[in-house]
Parts: sequence; C-alpha cells; structure tokens
Amino acid sequence: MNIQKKLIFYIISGFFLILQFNKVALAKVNKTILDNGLTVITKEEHYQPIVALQMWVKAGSADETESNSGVSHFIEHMLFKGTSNLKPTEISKTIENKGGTINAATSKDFTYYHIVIPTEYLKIAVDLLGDIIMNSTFPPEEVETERLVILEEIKRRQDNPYASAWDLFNKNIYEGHPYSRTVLGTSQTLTNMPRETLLEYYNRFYVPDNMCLVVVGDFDTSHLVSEIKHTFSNFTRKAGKIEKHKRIQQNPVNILEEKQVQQAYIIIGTLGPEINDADQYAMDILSYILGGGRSSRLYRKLQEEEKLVYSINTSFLSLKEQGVFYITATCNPEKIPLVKKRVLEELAKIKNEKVPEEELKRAKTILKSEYILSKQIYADEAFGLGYYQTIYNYKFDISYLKNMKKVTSKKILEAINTYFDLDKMTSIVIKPELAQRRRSLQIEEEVQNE
Amino acid sequence: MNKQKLLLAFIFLFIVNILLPEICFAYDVKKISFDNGLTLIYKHTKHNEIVAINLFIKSGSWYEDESNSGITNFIQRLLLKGTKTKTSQELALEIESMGGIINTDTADDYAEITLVITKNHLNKGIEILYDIVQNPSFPNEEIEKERNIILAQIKSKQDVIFEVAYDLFNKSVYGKYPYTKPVLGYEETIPVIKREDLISFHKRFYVPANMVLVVVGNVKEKRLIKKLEKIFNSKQTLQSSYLYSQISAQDLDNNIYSENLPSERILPYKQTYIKKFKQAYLMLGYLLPEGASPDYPTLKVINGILGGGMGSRLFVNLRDKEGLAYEIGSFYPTRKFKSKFVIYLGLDAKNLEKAKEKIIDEIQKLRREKISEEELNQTKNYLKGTFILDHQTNQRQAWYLGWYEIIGKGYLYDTIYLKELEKITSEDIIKTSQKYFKDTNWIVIQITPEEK
Repeated sequence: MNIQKKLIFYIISGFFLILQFNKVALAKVNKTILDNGLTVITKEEHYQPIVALQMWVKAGSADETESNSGVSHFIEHMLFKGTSNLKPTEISKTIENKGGTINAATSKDFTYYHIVIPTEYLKIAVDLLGDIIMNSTFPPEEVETERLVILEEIKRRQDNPYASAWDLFNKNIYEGHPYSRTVLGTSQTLTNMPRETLLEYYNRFYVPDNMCLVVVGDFDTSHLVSEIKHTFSNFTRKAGKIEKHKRIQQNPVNILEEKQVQQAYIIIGTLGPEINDADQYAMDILSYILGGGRSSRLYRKLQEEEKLVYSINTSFLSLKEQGVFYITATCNPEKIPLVKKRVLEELAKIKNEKVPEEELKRAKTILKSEYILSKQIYADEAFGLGYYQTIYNYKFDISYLKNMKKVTSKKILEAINTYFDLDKMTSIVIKPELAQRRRSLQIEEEVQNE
Repeated sequence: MNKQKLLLAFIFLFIVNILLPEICFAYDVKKISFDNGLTLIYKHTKHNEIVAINLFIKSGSWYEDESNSGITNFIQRLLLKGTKTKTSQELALEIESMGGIINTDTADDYAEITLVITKNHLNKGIEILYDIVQNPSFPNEEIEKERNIILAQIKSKQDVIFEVAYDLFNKSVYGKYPYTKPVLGYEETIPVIKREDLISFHKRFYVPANMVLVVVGNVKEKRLIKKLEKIFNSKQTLQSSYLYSQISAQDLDNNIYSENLPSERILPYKQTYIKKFKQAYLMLGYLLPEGASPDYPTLKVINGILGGGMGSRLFVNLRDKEGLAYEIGSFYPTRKFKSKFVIYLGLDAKNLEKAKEKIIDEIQKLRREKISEEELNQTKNYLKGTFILDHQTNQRQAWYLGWYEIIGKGYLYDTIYLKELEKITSEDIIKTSQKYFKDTNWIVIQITPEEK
C-alpha cells in the first residue's frame, strides 16, 4: 500500500473509532452542579422513547423530631396540591394527559418525586417538576383535606400486618435514633401540625443545595441541561442543612404484640454498616446466601425441609447512617419459638464457617442478574443513581458490580462477626389474639378434612 | 478517481454506521416454524445481556370443562416441583446458579412459563425449560401440598368483594361459554383431580405443536435455532419475517365450542346478591368481540375514555365530582374468543341507584355525543404511554409478542397497535358504541350488604 492509501485508511478507521468512542461516552453518566447548587445527574438511553425524571430531596423522617414527625411525608402530599401556576387537579393531569406517570415517595433519608414521560413531552415534565418544587403554595383548605387523608393512611397502615411489623421493628432496633420513627407520623403529630410547620420545613429543606435532579432516558444531554438551567434559574441558592446523628448500640429486645391477624409475623435483625462503609457488599451477599430465593439456607431449612414457615426472607437495607440486616418470616403461631431457634442456629453456622465458594459464586450471580435486570427500566436506573447520590455518592451505584465481585468468603466472615452478636439480636413478633388463633386453627382443620 | 471512490465509500460507511442500529431495531422480529409444529418468535435486541424466554401453551381455562376446571393452573404450579431427573430443590439450585428467574402463570387462553437469564446461559436455560415443560414428575406429596394451597386461594376469594362480583358477572355474561370458569377452578373440582388426570391433560396439551416459544435478547439466530432443533429433536421449516400473520379462522377451537356461544338470553339482565360485606359492589357490562375483531382498537379506546386512569370519565364524573364510589374503573380484556366490557364500582349501598343512573348516562353520552379532539388525544396518549411503559423490559416484550400471537392478532400486531390507535376517530367511537352498548343487552350484577 502506498503512503496516500495508508493515510486515508487510518483517517477512516480513526473516524469510526471516534464515532464508537462517542457512543460509549454517551452511555456514561453525566454530573453537573448548577450555579445555585442543584446537582443534576443525567444518563442517555435511547432504546425506548421515554424519559424518567426524578427530583431527590435530602429530607426524610431522619430529619424530623418527635413533634414534627411526618412533616416530610405531609409536604410530599402537598406538592400535588397547588402551585402559584397550577390548581391541584391540574398537576397530575398535566403529565397523565401526555401518557406519562407522576408520583412521589418519602423514606427515612429522602423524599423523591418521579415522572416518566414520552420523549416529545420532556419539556413539560421538566417545567412541572420545577414548578412543584419551587412554587408550591400549600393552600390552607388543601392542607386540611390532606391531613384527613394522611390520618386515614395511618389507620390503614396499622391494619396492614406487614407494615405494622416493620414499624414495630424499626421502633425498637433504632431506639435512640431518628430512624426509629415512622414516615407517616402519628395521629397526634398529624392532628396538631400547623401549616406554618410545613412551610418552615419546606423553606429549610427544599433548597437547591439539598437536592439532586436525575434524568435517564431518550434525550440529548446538552439540550436537556440547558433546559434545566433555564427552568431552575430562579431557584436561589441557600445553605443546605446536613445533620449527622450519633451511632447507636444494638437494642437487644424481644418484643411480642398481639393483634387481629391471621398468622404470626416475625422480624429478627441487627444494625449494620453505614453507606460509606465497604462492608455494604458483604452484607448484600450475605442476605442472598441466607434468605434470597429457594436455594438459600433459611428457605431450604425452614420452608422446604421443616415446613416451619409460610414465607421467609432476608434483606440488608443500606441507609445513610447505620443500615439494618433483618430476617422476616410468617408462620403458624405455634411455631414461633422453633422458627426463632432455627434462625439463630443458621446465623451461628454462618458465623463459624466460611461460605463455600460455590454458594458465594451463586449469590454474586443472582445479585449481578438483578442489577442488570433493573437497568432495563429507566425509572429504576434513575432510582439507583438518585438514591445513592442522596445518601452518599452516585458513583457507588455505577461501581457496585465491580466492588461486589471482589468480596471474599473471608470478608463475609469478618463482616458477620463485626455486626452479629447472637445474644443481642433485636426481634419483634406480632401474633394473633387468642380468639383469632382458635378461628384460624378451625379453618386449617376444615381444609385438611376435605 | 481512486480518491473519489474512497470518499464515497467513506461517506456511505459513515451513514450506514449511524443508521444501522435504527434499521436493525425496527425489523428484527421473526416467526419461525419447526416440523414438530413448534412456533418460535424471535426478537434480536442488542442493548443488554438479558434473554427473556416465554413459553406459551395453548391451554388454560378455555380448554377445560366443568369436571376438570382448574387443572391447567394445578399443572402449572407443579411444573417447578420436580422433573423425571431433578427434584424441586435441584431445579431451584440450577436456575439460581445461572442468576435466572423462573415463573409460571395460567390464564383463560394460555399457560405460560417464563425464564429470564443472561445470554451466556442460553443453552442451559433452554435445556432446563424443556425438561420442566416436557418431563414433570408430579410427585404425590407436592400434588397434595398444591391442592391445599389452591383450595385456600379459592376460599380466600370469597373475602374479596371484587372477586365475588367478577365470578358472578362472568357466569351471567357467559352462561355455558367456557370462559365462565375461573382459572383457579372450583371447590368441587380441585379435590377430585387425580394424578392420572394431571398426567393425561399434560400429555394432551403440552406438546410442541401447541406451543409458542418467544425469545427476546442478544442471541444469534443460528445459535438459537440449532439449540432448539437439538433439544426438541425437530427441524426448522418455514421462516416468515416481515409478514403480517394472523391465526387463521380455521382454528379448530372455534368449531368445537360454537354451540356454546352465549345464545339468546333474556337481556338486559340484572341480578342482586346479598353478601357478608360492609360495602356494596356494582358490575355493569356487555358481551364484546374477540381480540381478532376489527373493532378491537376502537373498543380499547372506548375503554380508555370511560375508565382509563384518573382523567377518565367514570373516575372524574362519578368519583372526583360526585364522590359516589371509592373504587371505580373499567376493563375490556383481550381474549382469543368472546370477551366482555366491565365497569366496576365499590360503593356505599345508598349510592347504588344513583351510580347506575350515572353509568347509563355515560354510556348514552358515548353513543350520542361526539368526543372532543382534545379528550380523544388525551385518551390515546394515555393508552400509548401505558403501552410503551409496559414494553421496557425484554420480559414484557417477549410476553406481548407471544400473547398477540396466541389470542389471534398475530405477533406483529405488537408493532402496529399504536398506529391502529392513532387512526381511531370520534365517528368510530360513536358507531362502535352504538353497535355493542345497546339499552337491550347490558348485564348488571350488584352486591348489597346484609340487613343488620
């Protein structure tokens, strides 16, 4: 080949390489911090013609006090109840009339507002999100209506055995820490919360410094970022408030409550690492080995072999501050002591012996699968970026698989022995009241006799 | 000369490189037949490693009779409980070791096994799926366990007012039509299904000629076909791509059951039941055509107008404005054979009469008044948005392709459905409402609480 041809060949190849490189670059996550302090995280995905937008606010039940418990969640409701530009009924309709969905949720460490919308209506979604975040007016009549709605929600939650078991567990394992309080608040705090409390909290926490806007989907990054800058241009900078709480010790209680339920609900757990602690990954893997799926240890022993439980699961909840590792089970009330005994036995086993390589590999494979599956849905992809940016750093989500793969059996053994003291576990049991139990037994007998 | 050619080649390659992904995406769905009758629908997606495999079996409550109602669901629950060579635990271990997720489901028109894996496990995944579907061992202990669970599920339906109302509504709208029977079966039929019954039903229906296998993922066609040919011991015959295919009217099923079509009945039909619930419930509806009907997309839009989301007429006019119901909606399920339109409300008994009047008003409005372009567009947007959001994952894409094939629209309907919706006009709405929602053919089921 002569030099001219060689040159042309290299130029053409180079061009294609750059094109491929651009495609790869486009697949990356972009982070911008606006002048007013608002963090904007974007990721282009072009497989579906939709966009998921989420505004994450660093305000949750952990930022509340005994007296304003439930305020974050109340505000979440109120942001759908009117801005200086929109009437209450217009907010959801604006999105739904375009074939999109809009909703919100509150938790311990965050409140987030999420929209999914077809690509061609992206600007409408950005504007609406900006409007409800910056310009909500909290109309007094609407505050009173929502107060009643939330009080109903609190009542309904108490009727839900899974939810009330979870609340009872949190109340005990997080005693002395704001994580112990419920997100909804109590009937007392909700009844007595004046509109001023909502406004004060809104003005304190809904500031650009304290928020992160995450957008995943079918858009052009530079276009979108300039649109966002425009929409949020009047959002003035104000110092965000970051408060850290003291670490608490394990609360080694065993609580028993009787309620009008059909079966027994058990939760046993222990405090775990904070999000910035690398033990996260070991705890996630441990959760799969112990109770994730039908080949997990607790499932095989308690559900398949001994048929002690109707259901059994484990989970590790990563939070900004101390996380929590817990095992939940439902069973016949007669089996409660045996279930607890077996769970502790399995925990003792895993405390003393390293996890075999095959089991470890399987857990990692399942975790990897789940991670990949969740990235198919843009809203779930956005959730991962938003959640971790809110409690720590979005890069945690991106590098998750890489770090998770590195965990060894030795590391898991170390982590278990750091966080699990089997004499100090926290447990709650909700079981049927005596009269209810007799009725349940009767039904069981009838089914068997048929 | 050389330089010009090179420049042209360069420009051509440049354009192709930009456009290639888009072209490939639009047309990479193929239907492939095998000589044992198996149908494969294959979609090549390149954006992730996930492979979604859906196996549809032309079984379900439609294919059952009064004596074995619930047998398909019973079989489906047992498929994961052991094959001739593997126990339930061994199956779970193998699937979870691949990071795979497996599920079974039963509906009126089909039974379904879904497996989601990563592409490097394709071969193993297909082997396990084949084993589960073709070689279940139906262990006696598991049969009895599942029998109890199903009976408990049937019993607990009695605690849910919607389920009670829906069973009654189906009986009323369908009469002796096979869709009357619930998927779970009856308290009378489940206890008497024997192991031999399960085996013979399985033998009859779980055959390749009765199956539609859907694969969506980054899997090369050749590799997939080769594996399937080996596993099923069958050869690929036809390949039809880019062709709009529909299940022909020669479908044997239609002929077998034609005499059971809901014939002349005393319509309009109204029945009141008194039950141990604190609230009242209302179900009002009509018999409607099958999915393959040309009126299908119009009826879907009508359902959207009346009961699609929080901006729909029933929601706004009966709940938002009048507070007549706390639970309200409508649906027109897509079925292979005759379907139905159902409006449902959970309400206080004192509002029953007013709610019925308001619903009749809404139906009349549909028949008489032209819908505004704005409302029609909003409804279409809602339907479009829901459809797109439900197509995000490989799993859901696989489901839709197989489902449209099974119920008679043909798998390619998945790619044209949204365009069909766009074509619907306000005149279509009026014409179709007048055709199916007459004053003379509605069915009403109402449930009222016991007198204290």
